[in-house]
Amino acid sequence: MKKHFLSILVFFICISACVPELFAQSSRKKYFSKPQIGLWYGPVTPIFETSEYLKPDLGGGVFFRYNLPYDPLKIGIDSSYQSYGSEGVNSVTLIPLYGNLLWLLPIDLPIRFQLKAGGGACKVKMQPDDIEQWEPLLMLGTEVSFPAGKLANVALRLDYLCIYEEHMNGGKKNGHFFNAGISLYFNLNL
Amino acid sequence: MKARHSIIFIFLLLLFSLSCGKEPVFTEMSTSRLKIILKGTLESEKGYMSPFVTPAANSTSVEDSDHANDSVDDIKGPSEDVYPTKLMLDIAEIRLGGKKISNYRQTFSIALSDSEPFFNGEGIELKTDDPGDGRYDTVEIFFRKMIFDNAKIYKSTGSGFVYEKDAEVIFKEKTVTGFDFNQLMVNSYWDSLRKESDQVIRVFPMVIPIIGGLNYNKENNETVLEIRLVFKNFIKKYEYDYYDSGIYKVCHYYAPSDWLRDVRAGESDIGRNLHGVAKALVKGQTGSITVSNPSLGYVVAIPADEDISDYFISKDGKLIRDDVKGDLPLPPNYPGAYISAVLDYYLKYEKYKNDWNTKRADLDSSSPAGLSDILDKYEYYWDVYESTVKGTGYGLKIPPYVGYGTSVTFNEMAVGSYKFYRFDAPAYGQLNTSFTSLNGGNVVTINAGANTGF
Repeated sequence: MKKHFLSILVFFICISACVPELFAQSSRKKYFSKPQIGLWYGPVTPIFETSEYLKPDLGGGVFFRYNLPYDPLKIGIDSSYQSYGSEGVNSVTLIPLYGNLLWLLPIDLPIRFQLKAGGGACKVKMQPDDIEQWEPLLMLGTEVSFPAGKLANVALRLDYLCIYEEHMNGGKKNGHFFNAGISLYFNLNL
Repeated sequence: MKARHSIIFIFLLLLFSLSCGKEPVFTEMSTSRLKIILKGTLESEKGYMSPFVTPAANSTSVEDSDHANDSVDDIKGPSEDVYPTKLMLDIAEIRLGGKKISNYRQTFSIALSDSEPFFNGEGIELKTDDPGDGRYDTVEIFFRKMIFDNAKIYKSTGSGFVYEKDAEVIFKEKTVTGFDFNQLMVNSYWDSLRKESDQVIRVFPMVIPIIGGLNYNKENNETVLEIRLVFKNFIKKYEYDYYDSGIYKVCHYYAPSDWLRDVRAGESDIGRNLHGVAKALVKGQTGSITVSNPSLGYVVAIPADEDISDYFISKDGKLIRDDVKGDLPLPPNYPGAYISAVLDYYLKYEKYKNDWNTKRADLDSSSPAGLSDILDKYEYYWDVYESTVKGTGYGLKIPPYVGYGTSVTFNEMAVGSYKFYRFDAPAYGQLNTSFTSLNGGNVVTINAGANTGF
C-alpha cells in the first residue's frame, strides 16, 4: 500500500512539474546537454527463466550522467534497490551499481529518445541461504524523456539487467530482470 | 575532461572485474537438492510393509472394550459408526531446525489403502526450497488440518442418543464430511493442567527428530529427508462431547491411537499421540543390507550411539496412567442458559465433586518417595507419568529404519554404525513395548554399496 502511494505521489509530482512545459521550445536541448542527476521509481520484474522462481515488486534508484565531448553521447552511473520475493521462502535483494553509455537519438522532437548500454556489478543478497556477494552485471535500456523547464526532465525508462553467473563454478543460469520506472532528473550547472 | 572520463571508465571496469561472487544464486534457486518424502507408516522400507488392517468401527481394537476408562463412553458401538476411508492433511509450512524451508500450502486427501504411496512405503513428495548448508536435528511441520472422514454426530434424547448427521468441516476451501482432530492435538491431559494449555497445539508445529541428523551440503548429490508419521494401523475412535443450543451431543471421530497417552472419558485433549520420525540420506552415500528375522515381525535399526530404551515404553499407556494417583476427574462443561441442560449439569457436577474427593483421599493416603505434602505428591505422580511416557524432549522415538517380514532388506541406509533389533507385530493400534537384539547385539557398520547381512 505504501509502495503504491509512493508510486502515485512520484507520478503526480512528475506530471505537475512538467505539464506547463510539455510544449517547450526546442532550445531546451542545451539544458538537456548538461550533467544530470535523478531518481526513478517503478515496477521491477524478473523475466525469462528467472520469473519461474521470483515475483515482481517495486524498486527505485538514483543516477548521475555526465557529458562527453561528442554531444549525443553521455556517460552515466546508476544504482538502485530491488527486492524480490518468491512463492516459497527464497528472496533476493539486488543493488546494481553500473555505468552506461547513453546515446541521444537524432530525432528533432520535444520528446527525446535515448538508448543505453552498460555494465558494472550488482550486490546480490539471497535469503534464507544468507548469501551476499557482488556479481557482474550487463544492461541495455531505453528512455523517453521530455524537458520540464530549465531545471528538470521527466522520463519513462525501461531497462533490462542481466546478472551474469554462468562464469561461476556450477553456474548454469543468469538472472534476468526488467525495470520500468518513471524518473525525474535535474540539469546541473557543473 | 578526458582524465575524468578515464577515471569513470576505470572505476566501472574495476567494478565489473571485482564482482567475484562464488555461489551461483540463480542456479541455486532453480535447482532443488533436498527432497522431502512424507510417509504414513511405522515401516520405512517399501516392500517390507505390514498390510493395512481395516477393523470394524465398533471392534474392540478401534473402540476400547473398557468403556469406563475410554474416551468413547456416552454412546458405545452405535451401528452408524463406520471406519474411516480417507485421511486429509493440510500443511502450512515446513521448517528445518527452526529455519523456514517451505511455506507452500500443501493439501493431501489420502485413501486408507495399501495402494496409496503414503501407505505403501513410496511416500508423497512435499514441495520445498533448499536450506542453507549446516546440520539440522529436527524438522517442524505446521499442520493446519488433519481430518479423518466418517465422523458421526449423535444427540441426546434424554433417555439415550440418536444419530443426527455426519460431522462436516472445511478442507481445501470446500465442505467435506469428517472431523478435524488437529484442534485437539494438545498434549493429552498433561497440558490441560497448565495455564497455557490452549496455546500448546502439538502439531503446529509438530517437532520431529531427525535421527542421526541432517548434514546438508550443497556440494552433495540429492539429499532425501524421509519423514514418517505413524497413521497406518494406528487409528482409534474418540468421542467429543459438547452442547449445541442446550442439547448434549457427542461426535465420534477417528485420530491416532492413544496407546501412549491414554485418553479417558470426558477428555478432549488427544495430543502427542501422533508419533513421527525423520531420517536423512545422501544419494551415493548409502549402503544396503539384508537381515534375517527369526520369526515374522519387525526388524529395526538405530544408530549405534542411540539408546534403545528411548524407542519403547515398558507397558501400555493405559497402565501407566492407572499408576497416577493424582489423576483427578475433569469437571463437566457448563451448557449455557438452557434450564434442562443446566439441571443436568448440576447433577454431573455433584458426581464430579464426589469423584474428586475419592481421588483426593486416594492421593492423600499415598506417600510416594516419602513425600507428605499433597501438592508435592500430585506433582510427583504426574512427573513420573510424564517421564514414563517419554514426555521430555521429542517424546517417544520411532526407529529410523523399520521393515516387516521374515527377511528384511534395507536398501538405502546412510553409511555409519547401527544396532539391529526385532519385535513381534503388536496388536492393532499399539506399538512395541520391548525389543530383542539381533546379531548378538553387535554393532554393524554400513558402508556405501552392498553389505554382508546376517
